[in-house]
Amino acid sequence: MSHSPEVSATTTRAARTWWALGLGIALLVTGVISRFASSAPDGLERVAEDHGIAGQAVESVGLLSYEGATALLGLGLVLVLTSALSWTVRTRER
Amino acid sequence: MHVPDGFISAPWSLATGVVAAGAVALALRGARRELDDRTAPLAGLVATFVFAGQMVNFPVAAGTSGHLLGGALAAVLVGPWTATLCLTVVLLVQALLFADGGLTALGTNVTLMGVIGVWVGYAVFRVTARALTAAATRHRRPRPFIPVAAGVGAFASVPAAAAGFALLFAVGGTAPIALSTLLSAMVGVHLAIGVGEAVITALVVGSVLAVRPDLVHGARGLLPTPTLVSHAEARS
Repeated sequence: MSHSPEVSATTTRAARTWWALGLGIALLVTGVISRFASSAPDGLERVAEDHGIAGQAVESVGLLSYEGATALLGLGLVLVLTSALSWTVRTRER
Repeated sequence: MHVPDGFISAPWSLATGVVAAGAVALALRGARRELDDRTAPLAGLVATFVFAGQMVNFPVAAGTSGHLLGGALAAVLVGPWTATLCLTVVLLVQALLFADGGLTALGTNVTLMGVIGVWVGYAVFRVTARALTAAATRHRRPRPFIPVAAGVGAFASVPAAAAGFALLFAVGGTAPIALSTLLSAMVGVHLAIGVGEAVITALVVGSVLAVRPDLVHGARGLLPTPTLVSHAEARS
């Protein structure tokens, strides 16, 4: 595949805009929408409580909790790790 | 859906760890075919979105919530092998930094959400997308219905992962409970969560498809490909 320089410059710019928009949405979900998240136990926790399994859980202490800056740190780490991984395994052009 | 430490016995945790490691090894090879210079940046974005989505619990019944698992969503957008890698990174960061899902349960969680969730979701998506496309083509209105098919795959993926947990607990669980009881309870509540999964997945896939249909892995071979026709050909 060969693109003229102008065409690929335009597509690169469009791709960057699009990518930044996607990241913005992920940040919005983390920073704003997560404030409205339900704090009720999730499906597995509910079933475990109802059927006497919950007591088996060994609570491990997390370094961080999903709040504000720490959630963003997790988000950034996932982004960096997955991007590095996918960029490494990808099929290179030419 | 994150299994904590202590639910599954040590030997079975080890077994799911082996399954997860094998799946990741295969996925590292498989993802090579799915990722190129164009699609690789999308994988990071998809994993980030799944991580964000998993933090947002939505209510499904009194006193019960659910959250996006994201396996089907990732598989449709970037391909199932890459989706297994994305989910593994998300689960790894959650377990290491946030103690969301136990460290010894990491293999279990990758198996349930990154393997069963991803592959059941993707298989059901493929079958549904092909059936809908064929039906639409017969009615001379070729449309791929990819967001709808993605929603159906996403819906199926959640009770599938839940059933996987019940089966695993039946053999390696640390509390005595009849399989039938646990299976019906797990599948029951996760059918409801699956509806939320379906809605989110269909909306996100629909949005990406509207802006960048060329990047959606699940749409390959299903979308009508634009053909280039020269002026001479067009006139003749």
